[in-house]
Amino acid sequence: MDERFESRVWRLGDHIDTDVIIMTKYLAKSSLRDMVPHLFEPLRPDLAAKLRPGDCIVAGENFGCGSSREMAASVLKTAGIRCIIAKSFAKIFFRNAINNGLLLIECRELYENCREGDTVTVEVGRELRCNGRTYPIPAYSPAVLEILRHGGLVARMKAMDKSAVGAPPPENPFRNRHQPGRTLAEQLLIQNTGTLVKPGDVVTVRVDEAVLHDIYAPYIFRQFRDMGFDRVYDQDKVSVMVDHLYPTCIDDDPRCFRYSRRFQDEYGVKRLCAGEGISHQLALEQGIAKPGKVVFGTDSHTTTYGAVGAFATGVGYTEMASIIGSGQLWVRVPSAIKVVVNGTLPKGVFPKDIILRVLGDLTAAGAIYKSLEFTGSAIAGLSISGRAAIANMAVECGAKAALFAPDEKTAAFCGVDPAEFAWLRFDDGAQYERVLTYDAGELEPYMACPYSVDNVHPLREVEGTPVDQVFLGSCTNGRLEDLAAAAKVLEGRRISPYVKFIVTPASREVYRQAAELGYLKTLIQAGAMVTHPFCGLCQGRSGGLVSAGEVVIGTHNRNFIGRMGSPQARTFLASPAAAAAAALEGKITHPGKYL
Amino acid sequence: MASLLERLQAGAPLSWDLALVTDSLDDAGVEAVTAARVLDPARVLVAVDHDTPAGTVAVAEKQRKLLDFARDQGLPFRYGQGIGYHLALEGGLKPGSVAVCCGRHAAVLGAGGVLGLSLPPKELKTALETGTVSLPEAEVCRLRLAGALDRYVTAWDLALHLAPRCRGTLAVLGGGGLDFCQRAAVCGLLAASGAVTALFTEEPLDGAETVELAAVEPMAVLPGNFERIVPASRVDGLRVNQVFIGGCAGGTLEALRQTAAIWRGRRVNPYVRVLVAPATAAVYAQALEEGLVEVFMEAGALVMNQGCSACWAQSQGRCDGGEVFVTTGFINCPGWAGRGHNGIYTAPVERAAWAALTGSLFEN
Repeated sequence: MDERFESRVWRLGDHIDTDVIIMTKYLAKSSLRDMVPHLFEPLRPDLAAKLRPGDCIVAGENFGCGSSREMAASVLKTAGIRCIIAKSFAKIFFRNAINNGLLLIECRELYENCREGDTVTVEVGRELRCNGRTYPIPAYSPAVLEILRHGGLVARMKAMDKSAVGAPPPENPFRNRHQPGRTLAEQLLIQNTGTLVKPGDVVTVRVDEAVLHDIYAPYIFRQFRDMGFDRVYDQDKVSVMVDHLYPTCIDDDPRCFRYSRRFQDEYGVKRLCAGEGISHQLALEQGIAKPGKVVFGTDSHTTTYGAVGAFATGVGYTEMASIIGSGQLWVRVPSAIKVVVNGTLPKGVFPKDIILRVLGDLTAAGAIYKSLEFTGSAIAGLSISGRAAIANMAVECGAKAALFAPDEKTAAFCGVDPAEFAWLRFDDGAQYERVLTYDAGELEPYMACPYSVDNVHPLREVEGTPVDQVFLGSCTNGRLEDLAAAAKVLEGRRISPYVKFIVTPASREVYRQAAELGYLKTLIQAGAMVTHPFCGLCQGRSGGLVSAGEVVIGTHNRNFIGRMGSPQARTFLASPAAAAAAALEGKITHPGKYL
Repeated sequence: MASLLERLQAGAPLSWDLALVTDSLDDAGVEAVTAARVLDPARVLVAVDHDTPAGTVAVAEKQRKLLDFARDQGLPFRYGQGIGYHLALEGGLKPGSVAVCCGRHAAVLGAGGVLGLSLPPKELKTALETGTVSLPEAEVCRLRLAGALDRYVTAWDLALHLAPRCRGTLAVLGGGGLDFCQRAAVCGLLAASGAVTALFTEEPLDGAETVELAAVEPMAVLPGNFERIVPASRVDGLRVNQVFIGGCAGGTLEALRQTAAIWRGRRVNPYVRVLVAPATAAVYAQALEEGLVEVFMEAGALVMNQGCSACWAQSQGRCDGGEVFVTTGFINCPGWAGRGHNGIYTAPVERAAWAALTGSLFEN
């Protein structure tokens, strides 16, 4: 790592998301070099060709927000980008960049004081100089510095002593004991590490479950071998999820299917789910997510598992390779924000509306690296599905984890004894950085409007907007109660003749129950295209892309520019009932009258 | 009204009963067809059925133009509700009718006794504007099917058996007692292998050649085109990567029932990607009702939305490299299901269903 260098500036805005950096449809390409020409394609299609090795990018807030795709970092590294200087970085992107030896520098002032083409002088860990001004920059933590010094996580892991992998955990004096004055996240990490950690501490956690995805399988496979591992740390704790690319929609997809199978054959991984549904729903159904567990997955929406009280978050493919080899990962203990929702939701208002409102209030960068912890009588009244919808989208404001204290519903859903997790509960003495309090009765249907998830408005403000396509599905809202809400709206009715309506149940089990209860028949007879349960259109790779000028209402979690096709298309995110009502009327409408 | 055979005999321009416009058209084709001022909107069906939901932005743009065409001229429009031919037949298109479209499998309508004519886009435009169509100049090949197929011989085999005789002809078939799925397979495969069109009729077939069904043996066609028709033993033992049961014949209720009967209580091979797609929304709803879909799901297959799905293969069921793709569909061109891929094997429902379970193609 050079301690001092000069670099030419390319200047980008706030919230440069990972879809903008590299679109999902290119992720399964067999080499990073093949992805380089597509960097920043939806935003600046001409930029990739102009990037030269040694250049740097200067950006605003929340650079790298969105998905956990490591390609967003590794393709920039492959293109020769020397460093990225931004006001703030999204948490998963930050880790991915460091793991690839790509330098990230937080500096709030440079952005306003530089232009494209300027030269910036970087002294790592000390200062930036540009146009005659000097800007101090923070030093890296020892954990980060060690990875950077190795040139990335692969070399760092290669040098690791692997003889200790799989050793039994040390004696934990805090195990299964409630820790007063602690947030849920702190309690979970204390339970895991046996150390009285506090926010800001960097700790090494023992990984209870690792979930990896087909779309990254070839890359994880390669990094894993390059790190010098020849076995996974625990064959029972690693799950391979073939949920993004099966059915194969693009020519790059079959290879990922074969690599996923190879993972199982070569390393004896016990759980491989191919075409069974979306990993996040399967994790809930199959008990990968349980109260007290620490889980990492190669998808940003891994936060979903917080619905049952698991500390769960997304990682990139290199980090996943290190996890399945070593069984551990370093984590900075997050500080927390408490969200209290009391009362009863009015008719037509759903858990999706709660999280949309919260995202609008917190904004997309409002909870970077925080634990978002939900409580209150309205939250207690929600099903696990409703909590999952909320936990799922917490990552959209940058949260590291989203947590719900487990209760009887959790116990029944997970098939565990409530006494087992009695230690994990809200504590009045816990320190929250911020507390948001809502009266559920005052909430209404909301929509996240183009082109960001935090551009949230009451539905009534956009009511009447003509709609071309409706998507009901995803790990946010593809569950049974979501299909039930849509079926209720559409029972005995036909959708508007010029609306395309795509329904994708979240799992085979959801599909099976929806078939049995007649929801699928209702939806098909109303005019829906019911697809096989998988990630589907939410990825924006295929299966319902839209052309310029089209308007989409989706129940999923991202409405970034270009994510669902043309950059001139517009996506609104809403609850399943609001989506169904839009399909019915061909325009945005309050779902209450159909419920 | 004169019988269809009499109308064919007369050779004069026919007044068609249905014009079907789908997204099988390329961009130039869409441009040509949507330029038409439609004479009689009620006789037209615009059905977006091939690449649904849209696999790319370019496809979405093309489909958008078809939607605008339908909306502007008040034409019946269906998006993603199933294969257009089947929607037309479900909608009451009667035996003896004449239908025009651009799709290469228009002959599938012949399973319902309808004369399906596949036209180039410019001719479809003319047909839409005039309400009539000129018959192609082709020998009318009358075939009477006699007897019954052997137990392990299928309509796919029969079609491949008849293909050399029917190339370049307008094939009219009678007898045989075939069900709708079997008739769709015969008509669709005859068209794929070079017949101008094909149809089944209940009308008397004077001077027809007799085809002894008992003489038909299991057949296969090698990937790339429909020229290399071989005994099915030539492909016996082929290891399979992907299986598709769906399309004009494989997506019918009969085919889905047959598949469910084979799969019930069994699991598909974990190394094989297996897709099933009902032909239409009505077939899907009925398959749900009969518990067929449950069997597919229990077996571990993917159940796709209704439509052309992996027969069209542009965004569902892509393959790569040297993969072997066994399909009940009628398209096997090089590069069709993946760049540089040339391994599409058209197969009957039974053999496709067994390949999904065992991972291998069998000769019968």
